[in-house]
Parts: sequence; C-alpha cells; structure tokens
Amino acid sequence: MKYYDIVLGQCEFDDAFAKRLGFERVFRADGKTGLSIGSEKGQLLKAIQRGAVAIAITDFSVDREVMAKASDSETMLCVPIAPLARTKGLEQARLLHRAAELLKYAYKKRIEVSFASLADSRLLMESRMQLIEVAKMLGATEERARSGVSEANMKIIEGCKVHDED
Amino acid sequence: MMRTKHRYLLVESASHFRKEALQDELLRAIGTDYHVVNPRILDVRGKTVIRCSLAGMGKLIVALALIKSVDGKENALYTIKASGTIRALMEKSEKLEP
Repeated sequence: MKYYDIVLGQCEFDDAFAKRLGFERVFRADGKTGLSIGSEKGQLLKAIQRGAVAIAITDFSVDREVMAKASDSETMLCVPIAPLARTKGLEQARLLHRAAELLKYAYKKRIEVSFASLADSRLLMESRMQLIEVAKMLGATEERARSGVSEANMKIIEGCKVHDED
Repeated sequence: MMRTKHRYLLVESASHFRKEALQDELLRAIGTDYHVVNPRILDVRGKTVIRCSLAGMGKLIVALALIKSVDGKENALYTIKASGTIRALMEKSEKLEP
C-alpha cells in the first residue's frame, strides 16, 4: 500500500524528507478549488455546489446541512491533523473530541474520509505511522485509517488535478 | 511471571532536545496511561529510539505526533519505523539511508 499526504502550499519540505516520513509522495494543496479548506458553512456549501472533490473542516464542527450535502454529492471529508497538533491542553482536548464526533457522523452518513496533515510548516507535518495512529485514536478502524491515508488522499489529489484542468 | 512484549520506535526530531525534557512532555501527553506505555528513551548509534510496551505503542505514536514543543522550544517528533528488536529497527533504519 502506498501512502500520501497533503500539505498547504507554503509548507517547505523536500522529497527525501517525505520518503523518510513513509510517504510515496506529499502533495501541496495550492488553495485551488478541488479541496476546500475552512470552517465557514457558506464557503463549504459553495465548494460542494461547485463540485469540490473534498472539504476539510478546520474547526471540526458538525453541521448537518454541510454533511448532508457532502454525502449527497459524494464529496469527501478530509480530516486535517495540523489543527490538532497546533493546539495544546484543554483546547486540544476539545478539538480532539470534536474531530472524533465529526468522524463518527461522517461514517454514519457514508462520507468517504481521508486523513492528511494539511500542515503549513515542516514542524506540523506527521509521519505515515503518526497519521494512521491519530486516525485510529479518533475512531477509525485500522482498515479505514490506512485507506484514509492511502487511496482516499490519492483520490483527492487526482480529483484536484481534474478539477483544476476544467 | 508474564513477560511484557516491547516495541522499539525510531524517532527523528526537527531539533535537538534533552532526554528528560521529552520524558516530561510524554508524561504530560500520555497522562495516566504512562505506566501502560512505559516509554524508555534510548540513544542507539546516535539515533533516538523509544522502547514501549506493545499495548501502548499506539498511544505513544499519537503522543509523539501531538507534541510540538520540548523544553519550551518549538520542535517536532516523527515516528519513522517500529520494530520488535533494536537490531531489526537498525536494519530498517539503514535501508532508509540514501
């Protein structure tokens, strides 16, 4: 199984570092429309309407309307790990709880889930093993965690390429 | 007495850290399950290796992922490989070298 990560455009790393972390490749989400990253309901709904491949909800809030629309349009959910790693203490504990609730709801709604660091700096990047274990801690099974870091991320990347070419 | 099964993790960091400082951060991150994980930070041929219980390996990897400062300084810890013996871990580590 090959594993992939997605980071934000400004994140600095090289291919050798990505390989050491256990990834076949690490891709940059350059703020184009294929993967919509944010926490505003309006922005996420617009992105789903425009045919985004995936949405990443950075505050992990469960909005039933957004999730229903994502489910209906087969938009994927990308769970970003960087917001969890960036925080500390009580704030981190709250975010972890919300992320676990979001994941549970996404699986209930049969939304395909991916796990990516979406890091904006090298310090917030995680290794393949770390992404899988964080996914499991949030409630994903071993199989779902692995495919979330593997096939699901590849699907987002491929989808983004097609989306950006349109 | 039952022998506890261990795992050895090869860990890389963004910058140098004191072993005691990392131990404190792990204690804070793992909390009351620290005794289950039972991490031991080792230095093997200049590389950081952490020994833990097999049962607590997942918790340790998550803790390492979420620790972003050691000794009050920004840092990051990356779990590169895991193995049941130091020798196997070092062999895997050598394969990673360019």
